[in-house]
Amino acid sequence: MLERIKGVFSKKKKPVEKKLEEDKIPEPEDDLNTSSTSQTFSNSEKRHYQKLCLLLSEPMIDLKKLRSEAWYGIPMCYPQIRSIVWKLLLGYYSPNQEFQESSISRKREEYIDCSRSYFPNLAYSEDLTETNLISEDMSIYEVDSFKQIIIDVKRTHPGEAFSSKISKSMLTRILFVWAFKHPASGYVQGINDLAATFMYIFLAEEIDRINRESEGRKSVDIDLEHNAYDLKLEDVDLIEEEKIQHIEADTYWCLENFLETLQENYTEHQPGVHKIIARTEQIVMKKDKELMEFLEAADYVPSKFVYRWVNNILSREFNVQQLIMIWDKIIAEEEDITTYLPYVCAALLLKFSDCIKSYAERPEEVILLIQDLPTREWGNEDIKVLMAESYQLQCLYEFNSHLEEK
Amino acid sequence: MADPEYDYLLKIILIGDAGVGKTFLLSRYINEELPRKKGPTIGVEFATKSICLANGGVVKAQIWDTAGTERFKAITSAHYRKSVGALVVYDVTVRDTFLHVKKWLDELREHGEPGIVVTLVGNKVDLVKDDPSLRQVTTEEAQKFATKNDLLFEESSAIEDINVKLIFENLLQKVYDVKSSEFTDEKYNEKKKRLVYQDPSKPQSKDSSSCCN
Repeated sequence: MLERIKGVFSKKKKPVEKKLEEDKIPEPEDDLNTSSTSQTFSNSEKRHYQKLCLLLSEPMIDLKKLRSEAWYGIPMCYPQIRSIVWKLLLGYYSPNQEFQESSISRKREEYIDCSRSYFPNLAYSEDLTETNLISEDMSIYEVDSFKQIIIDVKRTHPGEAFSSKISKSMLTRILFVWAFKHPASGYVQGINDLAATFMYIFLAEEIDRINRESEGRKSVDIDLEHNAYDLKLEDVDLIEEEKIQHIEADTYWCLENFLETLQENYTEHQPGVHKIIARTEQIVMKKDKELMEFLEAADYVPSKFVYRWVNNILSREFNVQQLIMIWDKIIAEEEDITTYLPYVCAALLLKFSDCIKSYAERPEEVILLIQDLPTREWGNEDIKVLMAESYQLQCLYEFNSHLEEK
Repeated sequence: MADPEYDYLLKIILIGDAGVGKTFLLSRYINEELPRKKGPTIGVEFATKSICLANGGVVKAQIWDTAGTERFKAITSAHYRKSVGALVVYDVTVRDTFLHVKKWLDELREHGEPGIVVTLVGNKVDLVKDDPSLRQVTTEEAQKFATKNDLLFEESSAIEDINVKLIFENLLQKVYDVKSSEFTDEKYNEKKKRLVYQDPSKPQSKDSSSCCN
């Protein structure tokens, strides 16, 4: 993969023999200067982008370096970059490019075989109803999981592209296979949002590729204000069935790997979620005791709302583009998510501390504010500041043993 | 800006299986539109509204919308406490959601307040208007069940705004009436205190209707 990048940046390395078509990244020198987004690209962003490309062009990708580079964020304009970086950092793609294609093919086949055993006849164009999906030989557990997934897929909607029958059918299969493979937790509401976020990136990547290849069409529309991938409903129909299968399999494996350290979040009683909430409370208490006391007085302690933040890894508190920027850091973070997430949650709550405190004697206002944080007004800079503040908290408290003692 | 004054602050909960339309009903009632964000409710969500009741009285409703799935029960059932009214919602096109109403009533009995007023709501009637064959629970059957269990009953559609205001306000009216009659009866003074959650920050029992035009 990345042959063209290699041509630009890498002088000495042997070309990698096998290439993955969908992993090609546009040459930065060419595209950055000609595309409609070039004017928004600062020199530092461009250097950062080139550094990422360079790292990705190595035959043996240095994950440690990639991790630290990706931590500073991944440019929005090329979904390919984010797709590859996430897959590598989540341990789905092998850093050794020589074996990458064979290992990916094997993984994809493994998923497709499993999915096929449940959905032998389901075409992507079919409507998702219980009658055409649930068969008599399914166990009660499977049927219950399935019914819940069907209900939730209909209302999983990070963007217009998710209204298509193809997207819904992909998401249904992914969630069902995941639930079946993880009987200890089974499907839990919220996992639908997580899967959809990965799918969003991979759909954007493929649609961007198609758009670049077809003459006369500009690359995926980028909303300069929000750096949004504006995926249209009809765009999904342009994707070949084989690619759809790949996206589905890739989404599955990224979800699987992402949730590996989060198993306890979704088992009975969700002990993992409660641990993260408790840790968040500790951090907030340390940093802003007054805020905690205020929330207690309003009878709206963090456990009542941080619950959703953690269960859905913040996917309900931000739109999908903002979420992607936050997940860049979560995925690139050295520590596992359970260690890092409390700092992000604490930073988010602390951001609204003054506003919350201004609602003295008005507990209802506090609840209404927190359950629908005005984050949709945020720009990219606000997200960057939030993540910087999370990092600051982490530096302050990560190694402070006295925090742990309580 | 101060809230309009009200006679009582009433805590109401919305319960029922996942996907029957609880969040849509609440959003339609409070905001007069469908929710901006889609997706299952995770845990609980809160809304509030001051209402002039048809038969007199001004109340402020605090409504808690709960997640329908078993997994979030620990979080949701904590909110049953102090609720004086409940809407138990099912989907008229999914029989299971009606069969589970009994389970939801048991939940209320276990975690809720004694004397809680309950409305049974058969939602999504817009779907059966276009295609009657989709209906899996007849109005008669649900009405019979409601009568037997001493519940108010109504069918509704959040999408087409059918009976939405009615289901909330009939429930609030009934709670208000019960509450007012108890208020006048010294014997039930204790019970009244248990039933009605008094908001300490708000003046109680004002005689009129600053929210009415």
